[in-house]
Amino acid sequence: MSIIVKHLSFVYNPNTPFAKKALNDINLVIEDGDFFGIIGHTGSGKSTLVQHFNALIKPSRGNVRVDGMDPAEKGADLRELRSNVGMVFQYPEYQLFAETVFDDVAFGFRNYYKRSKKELKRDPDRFKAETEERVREAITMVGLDYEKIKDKSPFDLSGGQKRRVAIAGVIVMRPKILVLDEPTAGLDPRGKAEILRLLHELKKNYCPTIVMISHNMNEIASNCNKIAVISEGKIICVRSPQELFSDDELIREKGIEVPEAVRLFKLLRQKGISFDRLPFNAEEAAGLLFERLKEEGKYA
Amino acid sequence: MEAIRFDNVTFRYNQTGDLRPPEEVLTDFGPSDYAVRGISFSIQKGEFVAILGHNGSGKSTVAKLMNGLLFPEKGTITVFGMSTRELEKLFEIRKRVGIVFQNPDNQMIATIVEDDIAFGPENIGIEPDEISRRVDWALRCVGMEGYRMASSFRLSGGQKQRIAIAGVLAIQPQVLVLDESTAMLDPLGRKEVLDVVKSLNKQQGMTVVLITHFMEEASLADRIIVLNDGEKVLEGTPRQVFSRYDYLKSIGLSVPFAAKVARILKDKGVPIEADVLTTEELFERICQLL
Ligand SMILES: Nc1ncnc2c1ncn2[C@@H]1O[C@H](COP(=O)(O)OP(=O)(O)OP(=O)(O)O)[C@@H](O)[C@H]1O
Ligand SMILES: Nc1ncnc2c1ncn2[C@@H]1O[C@H](COP(=O)(O)OP(=O)(O)OP(=O)(O)O)[C@@H](O)[C@H]1O
Ligand SMILES: [Mg+2]
Ligand SMILES: [Mg+2]
Repeated sequence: MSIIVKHLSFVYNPNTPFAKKALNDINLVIEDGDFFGIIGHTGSGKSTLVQHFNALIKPSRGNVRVDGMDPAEKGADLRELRSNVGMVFQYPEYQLFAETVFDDVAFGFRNYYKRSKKELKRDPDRFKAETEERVREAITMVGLDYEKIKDKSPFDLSGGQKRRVAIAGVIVMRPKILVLDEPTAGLDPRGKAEILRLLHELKKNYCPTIVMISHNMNEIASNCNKIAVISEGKIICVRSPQELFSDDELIREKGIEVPEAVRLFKLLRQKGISFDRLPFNAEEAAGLLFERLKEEGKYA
Repeated sequence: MEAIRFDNVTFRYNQTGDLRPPEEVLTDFGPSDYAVRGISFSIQKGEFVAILGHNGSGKSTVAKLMNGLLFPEKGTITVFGMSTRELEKLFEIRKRVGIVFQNPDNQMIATIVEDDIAFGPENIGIEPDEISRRVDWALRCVGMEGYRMASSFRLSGGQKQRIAIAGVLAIQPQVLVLDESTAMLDPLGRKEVLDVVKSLNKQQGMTVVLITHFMEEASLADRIIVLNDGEKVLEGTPRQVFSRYDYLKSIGLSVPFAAKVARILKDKGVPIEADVLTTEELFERICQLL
């Protein structure tokens, strides 16, 4: 399932003194199987852009096609779209509300299937069983123990657990595209690593396409195959991590922060110690340095 | 001079959300587990202290205990010599200890940015002229001068967070507590805010308590306090604390990038000391090897 964005512009509060152009002629293709990263400064338009992907807001100009369908068109099946494109917002745990983890995770699924009331009336037992199966699947997928956690109050969980429950409430719909707005913000180092591992697992087994907004460059560079840079409502470029972080001029011009590993290797290059590719985290950096030490016959 | 002192502080939340001490609340629910257990530490005026700990380890609870938003069940907390238990001192304490909380949405009070920032200083009886000056200054500190008349609810996540920081700066507290206040900022924004905080600390002698999940940020502090499951488990300079890689990892934490690289190389038999904090230091050491 792909997302194609053409000439998308968006204005908040049009025709008022508060009018604010948040997106300006955006063109973008997210392909099936991408782990697509979006970076850009605070207020550059990242959240506004992704909210178009499941029609939470509609373009002022241009269009967005998800799997060929334009959600802004009359008669578009928004329910179908929203079950295909799962959206995990910034700090999603603030939106947990139900009394139990089970009810929270089940909410979207129940809502979606309430429409098919005829079927429900005919067979409430099956509906119940199906809900249970889906909720069990979602909770297990995010790495939590279903039996242990299903009856707990979401408010009694740790930050990392809450975040997982919120993600479960989205993947319960079995989306084909999962969009996450800063999914690791506010988590401790272990929680961050766990959520990223989870995303790769989900991608392999569930939703083949993942779109992730993040301010954490180590995370973006280490996990995404493509990165879009947004600045003041415009797409500056879409590149692979190696291409993006090797482009010194672009990085300087646009004030893009680089992963710490890249910064180290640029310092080394200035000293005449160069490598044919860039590392994006401590493990990769140490690996490359160790190889080099070995090649030069030093200490190994 | 001592700014904040915790003596054997213990705290439990009541499951009812009631803020009275647990022994005063008789309900079917009863108190929850201890959020903070037997914590003692002392922070001197002008110090820059970071607090680290896994999600749920008690960091925000410690922050709220610092200015009397919560009261200890056992032990005492003193702020510039005043106990947070003396109710008539609470106003003085809150004037001195300003906290920027985690979620900026909960902190927006007024609809216009300017009013939002003025709210704190008005509350402590600052003159209107002075308030206006402070609002200007606070907005400049966080790089949001252009947003004075903007509507608070129409800002991006990171912009709201900057306004929340400005709101507390405008009170000009003697102790500034930042509870993951940079979590939603972009890397440059985070650097800018940290620069402001560092300069308030160095130039004006403002005491800073920085609660963070970024190990690199914590390494800027004079001292780090590490919490685990409500208890204080480590305390020391960044170099001392970050030399405990295995232990930190076992309690859900990590070390700065440079320390991690050095540690991995060392484990592979490379003769490199792992007590580095910054990427520049690591660079120097690698140059000596290659
Ligand atoms: N509801 C709104 N009404 C008016 N303007 C808004 C609204 N929400 C956002 N904006 C403005 O639109 C622009 C883009 O905001 P957006 O939330 O998309 O940014 P972002 O890139 O997600 O930022 P952050 O990294 O801080 O989350 C910003 O300048 C912001 O002030
Ligand atoms: N209002 C509350 N009522 C009941 N329990 C609470 C409340 N607030 C926090 N707790 C519990 O107290 C403990 C400490 O929470 P605290 O918020 O201080 O952790 P933290 O270190 O700030 O975590 P994080 O990094 O996720 O912000 C946790 O077990 C938490 O679930
Ligand atoms: Mg955003
Ligand atoms: Mg906290």
